[in-house]
Amino acid sequence: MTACGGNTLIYWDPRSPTPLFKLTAQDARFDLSGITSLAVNPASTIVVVGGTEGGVRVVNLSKGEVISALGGHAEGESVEAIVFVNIIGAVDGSSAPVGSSGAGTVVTGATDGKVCIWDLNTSRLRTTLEHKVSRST
Amino acid sequence: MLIGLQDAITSLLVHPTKPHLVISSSSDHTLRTWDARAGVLVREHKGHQELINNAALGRSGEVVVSAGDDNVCLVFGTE
Repeated sequence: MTACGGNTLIYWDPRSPTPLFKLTAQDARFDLSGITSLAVNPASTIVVVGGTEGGVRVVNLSKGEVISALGGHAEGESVEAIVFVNIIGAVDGSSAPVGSSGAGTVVTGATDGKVCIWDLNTSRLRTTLEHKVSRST
Repeated sequence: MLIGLQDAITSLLVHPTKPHLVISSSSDHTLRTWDARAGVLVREHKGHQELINNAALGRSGEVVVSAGDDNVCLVFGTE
């Protein structure tokens, strides 16, 4: 998987010089004003992509289609880091059994000082963590 | 891209053995360990005099090493 400031995301099979798919700013709901970060989930079924203007998109890897847009970071603030977490395995018996986590949970960090935790099954924001509690929103 | 921002997030890490723990490094000179499940701060790691560019976790996840614009690397306990 490669991405660039020109807003192009390319999914490659390293054995072939031809991309499996390519998404650009011209594709529906994929204009992020330049890609700054991305992460692929452990099952390699989706990629989460962040942009220079605070946008986050979830893309299906088998179809190369935008599944959802996650809005939580301030407009104009760059999404600098994305990681997947496993919060299901940490729950002590009270929640869903291991293996039923579906699309999972992803964490995004941006220059707005926010760390957003997203539930990808519902495309909803679970929690926002902030580096400065006093920062005005 | 990051210059002039007070508290920008510069990197995110996931704990290798406790995958609900997330560590963020920031322009506010701190690293923070968070519990992503509960959405709470576990520990704040202070010591840098300038912004933190990046960080890495030890293999067991017990320590995190940060690299700052103050030209030093610091080693912290994650929890």
